Amino acid sequence: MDDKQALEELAYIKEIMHDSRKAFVENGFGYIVWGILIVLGLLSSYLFIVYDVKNTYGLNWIILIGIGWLFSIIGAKKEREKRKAATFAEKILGGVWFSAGVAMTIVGFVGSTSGAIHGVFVSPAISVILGIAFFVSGIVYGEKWITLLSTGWWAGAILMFYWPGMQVFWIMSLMMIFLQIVPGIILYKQAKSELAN
Amino acid sequence: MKDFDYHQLNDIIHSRIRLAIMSVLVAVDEAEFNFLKEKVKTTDGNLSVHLRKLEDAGYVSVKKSFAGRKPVSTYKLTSKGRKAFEAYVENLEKLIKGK
Repeated sequence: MDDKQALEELAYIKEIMHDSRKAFVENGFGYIVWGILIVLGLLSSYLFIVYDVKNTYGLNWIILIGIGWLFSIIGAKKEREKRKAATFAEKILGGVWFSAGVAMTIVGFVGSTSGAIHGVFVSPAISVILGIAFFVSGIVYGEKWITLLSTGWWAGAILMFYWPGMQVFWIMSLMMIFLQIVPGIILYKQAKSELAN
Repeated sequence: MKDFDYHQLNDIIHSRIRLAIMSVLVAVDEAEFNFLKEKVKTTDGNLSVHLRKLEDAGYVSVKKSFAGRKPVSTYKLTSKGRKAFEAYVENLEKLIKGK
């Protein structure tokens, strides 16, 4: 074997590895669905307060978060049945988002119903968790812009902790749209074009 | 361009198909037989033979399960296999650098 053959062999290895890693493509659909559900929850909670509608035990949140979990569990099951390979990155991300989801559900429901966390501080607490999840996701994807989204989540959390009130519903809704739904749409478009190639 | 003592290269990995299998399994954590077939671009029989050789060398492990009624074989690189692959790539790099 000579230098040229060795170079060719290394190039071949790189090409196969790159092609195989494409087995894992984040389609952003989960970001979009969860983002929309949270925005609906925030807006309905805001309207309940403004129009003084009695919302026993946050029924709107129970329904919306229930739909979200159902979507995630069914989606994960379908994905498992369909996929032919699993990357380590995929496993890490699955774990990060599952644990973040559980943490947010505990903070949102247990935190507020137990009275340990005042309702107005649920959004900033959730923003802190989302910041962690986006930070790790960005590193795993190798996409700096996703890592940078965490800065937005953490800055928003600081703002909402220091400036509690009705505006929190709007701030959190805007953050959800620009820091989760829009990135989800971008990832969805990227995944579509990658799969087409 | 000087010749390299190819005996320094691991014989088990030094085959186009087995090298491709190892490269796929380094990139993904685990892969089903059909995924490997698609990436390596070979026939069922040929792939089976090469996978068996890698299994016998202790470079890959296989987990057999069922998806409904369909049997599914999932392959994974062992730590011995990963080390062997790294050493193989290192030897190729040495050759290029002329050491």
